[in-house]
Amino acid sequence: MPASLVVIVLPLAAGTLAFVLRRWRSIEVLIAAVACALAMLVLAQPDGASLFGLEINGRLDLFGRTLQIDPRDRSALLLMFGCGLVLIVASLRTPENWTFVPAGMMLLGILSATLMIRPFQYAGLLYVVAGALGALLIQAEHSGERSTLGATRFLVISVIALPMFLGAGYVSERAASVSDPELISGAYAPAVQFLIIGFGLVMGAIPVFTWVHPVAKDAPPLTTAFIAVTGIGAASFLLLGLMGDFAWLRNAPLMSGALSTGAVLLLAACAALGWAQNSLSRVLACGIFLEIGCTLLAIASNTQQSIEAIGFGMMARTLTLGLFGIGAALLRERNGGDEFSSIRGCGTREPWLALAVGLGGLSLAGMPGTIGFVSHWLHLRAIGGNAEQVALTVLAGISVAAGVLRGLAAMFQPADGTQPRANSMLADQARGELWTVGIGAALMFIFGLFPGIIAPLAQVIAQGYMR
Amino acid sequence: MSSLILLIDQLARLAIAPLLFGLIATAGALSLIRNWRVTLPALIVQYVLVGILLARVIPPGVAIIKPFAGAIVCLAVSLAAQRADSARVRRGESIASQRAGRERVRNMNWRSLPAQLLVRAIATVLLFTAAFGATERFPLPGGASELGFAAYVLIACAGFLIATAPESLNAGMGVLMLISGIELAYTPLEPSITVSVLLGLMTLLVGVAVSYLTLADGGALGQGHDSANAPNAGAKESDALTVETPRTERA
Repeated sequence: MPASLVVIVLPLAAGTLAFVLRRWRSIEVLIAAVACALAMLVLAQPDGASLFGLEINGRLDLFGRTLQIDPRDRSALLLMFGCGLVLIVASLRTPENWTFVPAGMMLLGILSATLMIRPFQYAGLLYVVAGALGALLIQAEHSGERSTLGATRFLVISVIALPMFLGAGYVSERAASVSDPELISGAYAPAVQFLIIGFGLVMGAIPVFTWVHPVAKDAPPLTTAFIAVTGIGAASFLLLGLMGDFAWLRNAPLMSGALSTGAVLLLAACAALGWAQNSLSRVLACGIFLEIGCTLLAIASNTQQSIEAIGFGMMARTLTLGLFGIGAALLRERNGGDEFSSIRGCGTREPWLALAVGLGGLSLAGMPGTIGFVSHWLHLRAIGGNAEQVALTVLAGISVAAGVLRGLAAMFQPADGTQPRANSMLADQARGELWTVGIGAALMFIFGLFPGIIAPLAQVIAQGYMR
Repeated sequence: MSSLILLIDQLARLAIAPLLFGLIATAGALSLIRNWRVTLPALIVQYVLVGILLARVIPPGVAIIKPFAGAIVCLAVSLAAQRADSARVRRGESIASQRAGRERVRNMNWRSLPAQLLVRAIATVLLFTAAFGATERFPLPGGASELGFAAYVLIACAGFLIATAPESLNAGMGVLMLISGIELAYTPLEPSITVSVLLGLMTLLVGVAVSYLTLADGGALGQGHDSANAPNAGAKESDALTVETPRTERA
């Protein structure tokens, strides 16, 4: 049996089972964690090994299309499932809705399929399916007028990206018959343009305000983190894979130019707006802009160092966005919102939430000593030749840090009488939250001070894509 | 089933003009009107017409997937819209009932049509003109120009609907129309069963998402236990209670 079938079906089946058992939170999280761990086990087996009779490089033909795990994508898929596992386990202590685990697992399965499907244009169809699942995930259970903007925007963007992928596939197939060297670049140019727009939309890069801000505003923070980590990660690895496969895409000056321009626009928007935000979800959105900008710059470089930075960045993003998301989600639950005006006084009442938001946010901005700093350092090293881009990245980080510090300052301001008070909490609930935040904070420092523990996975990913 | 396929096959052999006029009429209705009791039947008719158009380039047995998927999606969306309207009526904020709708049409002052409707009408006419121009200037590959025109019309009207409709129901119908347009544009390039089946499955999934968002938009999701994670959930609820005219009935 081909391993690709198992890697896709496992999360889909786990999502279905989690939906059936959604009343029992711990059990659904356990099911999802076991499915992720099994998928990782399958992906981790060496070439030629046959765990339970699974062929790791076996082809699965479905509807006349091929689904196959490319050797270079194996480590990337392993990383995706690992990141998904961490975020799903982290959701145990946050007030997530019933859609998080079932729709999240299905989304993970579909996103992993985007890396395996050939020809590549069918990834566009899968992105629409991911968009539909993402809409359920984002909307969760909250309702009311104007509450669906984030979910609707995410769905619309994924549908608009579809013709771009289909068009790129059609043009590239037609251009393959062109043999005149002088005409080749012109024949492939529309395909490059289609892919730039398609990936720009899927990654939330063009136009600057597409789905990132509405999703961060409407979705529970950990859901935003999940989509930002797995969705952007899958799109990055798919683009890297295509650049590895097709010289016309890799060598197109338009591609690297567009990626750099998109990244600069995002970083500039982040630098201009990050410090001025008035809610944690908007600061989170600016932090995601910073991450997307860094990722795009690294893809534009397309060197071993830059791909290492992308892999490490995904691991760092899981921890930083996860920890920030836990803090923001609990603050939303306690205060009915995460605006700075509504979280006053929370820092003194529940300091562990301030720790989660502060440490997660500052790591996202690249504070030294944390895993976020290592990630930013790797990205800056990868784009080291361009002083303007380095300066803009640092400025964007400082702007996000200023936004986080403003949020922290609001949390430690005395609450006025009209502010909602924290719900009465059971001691073991507070202890559970404290442990979750404590473990997340410790991991952030441990991997920040000793990045060599997790760096080998990023190196393996980079070697795979540079082969 | 076989008689349905035969019917689609025979309809696909008819002249193209009535099909295109039908498609323009349904796309125009969706762009102009914001009442789901009118637009959902128009969407079903549009799915049937798209199915007949597709039957000109792919086997009718495969083309029938589109009207079937569309009918299922429209059924799901209509149930969701009905529930959302009921929730609004229960909260006392909606006049979206059928009786009230009839009253509004009966008492409408036809000499002073709403400005929004006029703007939408002008924009729709411009979109049709642009679609016709695009078919001439930028013909889609595949050699089926009539399908190209139909695709341009659907994509243009869908884009307009998505851009101008703030509520999930109408924006969702725009998304469904956009998928139909993409299918009309792409199917002549790759007339395979695989593509049609995958696009049909995709339409169903998107329909589920649109139905869910329609329920959420109408406040009909899990009545009475809005998530605490919804930022400013209380503020939204209080805003919603002051709304006098339901958004689905503006036109």
